[in-house]
Amino acid sequence: MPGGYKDRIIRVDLTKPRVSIELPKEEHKRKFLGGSGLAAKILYDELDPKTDPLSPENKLVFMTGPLTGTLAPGFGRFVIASKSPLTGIWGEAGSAGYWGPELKFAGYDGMILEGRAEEPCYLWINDEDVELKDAKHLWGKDTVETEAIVRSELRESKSRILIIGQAGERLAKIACIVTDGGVAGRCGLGTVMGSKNLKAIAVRGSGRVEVEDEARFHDLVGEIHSIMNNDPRTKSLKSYGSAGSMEGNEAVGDVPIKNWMVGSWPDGARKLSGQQMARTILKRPVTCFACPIACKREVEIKSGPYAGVKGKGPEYETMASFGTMLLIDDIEVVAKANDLCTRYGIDTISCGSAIAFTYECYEKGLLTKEDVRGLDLSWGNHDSLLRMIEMIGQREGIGSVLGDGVKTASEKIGKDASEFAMHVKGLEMPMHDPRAYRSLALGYATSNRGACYLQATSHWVERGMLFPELGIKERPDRFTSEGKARMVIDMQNFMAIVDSLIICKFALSCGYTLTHLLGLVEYVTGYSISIDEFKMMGERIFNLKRLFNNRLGVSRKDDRLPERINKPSPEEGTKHSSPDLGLMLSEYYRLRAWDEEGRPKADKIGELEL
Amino acid sequence: MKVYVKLLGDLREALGKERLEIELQSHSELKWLIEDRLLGYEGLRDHLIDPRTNRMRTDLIILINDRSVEGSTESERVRDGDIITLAPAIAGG
Repeated sequence: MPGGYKDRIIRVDLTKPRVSIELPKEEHKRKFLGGSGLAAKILYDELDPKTDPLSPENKLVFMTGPLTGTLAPGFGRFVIASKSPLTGIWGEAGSAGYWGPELKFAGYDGMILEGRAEEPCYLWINDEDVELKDAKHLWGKDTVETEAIVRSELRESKSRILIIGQAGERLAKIACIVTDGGVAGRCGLGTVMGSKNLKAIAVRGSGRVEVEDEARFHDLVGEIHSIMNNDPRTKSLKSYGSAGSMEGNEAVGDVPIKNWMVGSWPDGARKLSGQQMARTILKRPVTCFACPIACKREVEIKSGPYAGVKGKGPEYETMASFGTMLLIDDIEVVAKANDLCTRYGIDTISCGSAIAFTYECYEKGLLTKEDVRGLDLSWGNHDSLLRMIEMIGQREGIGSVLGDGVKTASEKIGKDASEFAMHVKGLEMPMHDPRAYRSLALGYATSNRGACYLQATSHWVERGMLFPELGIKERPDRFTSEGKARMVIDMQNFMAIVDSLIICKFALSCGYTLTHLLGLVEYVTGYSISIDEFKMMGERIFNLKRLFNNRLGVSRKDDRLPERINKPSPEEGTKHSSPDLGLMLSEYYRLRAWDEEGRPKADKIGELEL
Repeated sequence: MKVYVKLLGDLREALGKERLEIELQSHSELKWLIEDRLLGYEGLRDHLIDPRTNRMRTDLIILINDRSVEGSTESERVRDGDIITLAPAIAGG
C-alpha cells in the first residue's frame, strides 16, 4: 500500500442498514488520485443517470486525498459529491477544518452513503467501529445545538462532526453541510443528507497517516512553511480573512452589487471588509488542520440588536451575498445572517442570491407585500433579510420557494423573473463578476457544478498570479475574451488535481508551486508523477465530470450565462462591457477536443483512458 | 508635479493612512513611483514588491483615476493631479 492512502472506503447502506469496507482499486488511485477525482469515478460508475437526487438510490460520497492528514500545510480539506438536487447534475462541495484528517486517522480514505434510513439517525465512526445511532431527538434542532448534544452523547470531546440543520431536514435544495471548518456549502448536498434521514456524521480516529519518505517530506514541508510565512497573502488572510480582499475587488468591479446591477460601491465595500471586521467584531482568527494561515474568522457581537452572535464569522462570499448584493453595509447584520445560515444549514451564496433576486422582484412589482407576508423588501432592509433566512430555513411562505434556489423560484414567479435570476445550470453565481474578469465567464459557463469560480480560479491569472510550470507566464488583459480558452482549460485541469489531492486554494495561493505539489505526492505516496502526467490526470478528471453531465443531457445549450452578464450595464465600474462567451466557448470546445454540442470526442475519451 | 495615492485594504492598514500626496520631480513613470518612492513608507514593501524578483508585484491592483492598469506597467506614466489607487490582490474569496 502506498503511503498517504488508508486503502479503505466505508460503504453505508442506510436502508438495510449495513456497513461494509471496500478497497479502492490501485488503478483508480493512479488515474484519479483521490478527493473529487475518485468521487467522480465512483459516482460515474455506480449512479444510474435517471436517479432522483432525493431518492434512496442517490449516493453521497465523502472523500479525502492522499495527503489529507499529513503535516503538509493546507491539506485539511475533504470533498463531498453527489447528484445535486439543486441543479440535477454533478454536485460537489468541499470544506476544510479537521473532519477529513480525522477520517484518515480513523483509518479510511472516504465513505459512500446510499439508501435511506427509516428514522432519523446519525453515524458514529470511532476507528474500527462504525455504527448508526438514533437521532430522532436531534431532528428539528439547529447545527449548533446538535453538535453540543452529539458531542456530549458520544463522550468524545475530540470527535469531529458534520451536521445538517433544519433546512436540510426539510429538503430545501440550497441546504449545506456544516463542518468544524466552515461548511460544504454548494449544490444542496445537505439536502441529500436530509433525504437520507441522516442528521450528522461524527468521527474519531487514533491512527496516523503513513508517509513513504519521511525525511524528504519533512524537509519539503519546512521549505513550504518558510515560503508561506513570508508571503504577504498569508499575513493578509490571517489578519483580515478572505474578506480582506473586498475593497480591492470592488475597485476593479469584481464585486456583485444590488443583484449584479450596480458597478461600484466603495463605501459599502469598506464597511464590509475584513479590515473593518478586524476593528469591530473579530474575536480571533481560526485555523484548519496543519495550516499556518488561519483565514477563518470567529466573531462575537457583544452589544446592540445583534448581541449574542458568537461563532463562525462571514467570509468574503458571505459578506458580498448578504451585504453588497442587498445594499446592506452593516457588518453586524451580515454576521447575524451568516449565523442564521450556519444554524439552519443553508448555503450563504445561494441564500443571498435568492434573497437579492426576491428584493428585485419586489422592486419590479413581480412580488407584492402580500406575497412576502408583509415584509418590506426595499434594498438595504436588514430586518427583512433576517426574516427571510428564517423563512427559508423553516420552509415557510416565500421561503419555501426560495429554498429551492433562484432558478426554480424564477420559474414559479414567472413573467420576466428569469432575466435576473443569477445562476448557471441552477447554481447561483458566486461573488466574482465575469464583466471584471472575462475568463470567469467561460469558467462559470463550463464549470461542471454550475456557476463556480473555484473550478478554474482563472481570474487569479488575470489578477497577475502566474503559474509558469503550467505555461502561464504572463498576465493577460482581463477585459479581453480572445485567447482566454487555453488558460481557462489549463487552470480547470490544474484545479481538478488540486481538488483531488486535496489542497486548500487559499494555501495554494500563498507560495505553493506545482513542483512542491509533485514533491509532496512523491514523498507521501511514492508515486513519481511528471508535470505532463499531472496535467493529464487533471484533464481526465475534468472530462469525467463533463461525461457525467453529458449523460444527464448537459450540452452547449446549458453552457451559458444569465442575460444580465451578457448585456453591458450603464452603471459605472467595469460593467459597461460584457464578455464574448460565444467566441470563448467555440475556442474552448475546439481546444478541449469536444464536439459542437460540448461532448468530449471519442478520441479524447480514449486518450484520457476514460 | 503632485500625485495622490489612495491606499485600500491591507495597504491602508499597513501604513495607517488612506491617502498620500507625493511630489514627483524628475520621474513620471508609475513603476518608479511604486518601486522607489512608495518604498520609503514603512510597511508597504511586502505588499508592493515581490521578494523573488525584487520588483513590483505582478498581482498588484492599480488604478489611475479609476482606469485600471492592465498588463505591463513599463510604459505607464502619471500626470499632475492623478489619483493612483493601489490594493493588494489577495487570492482569498
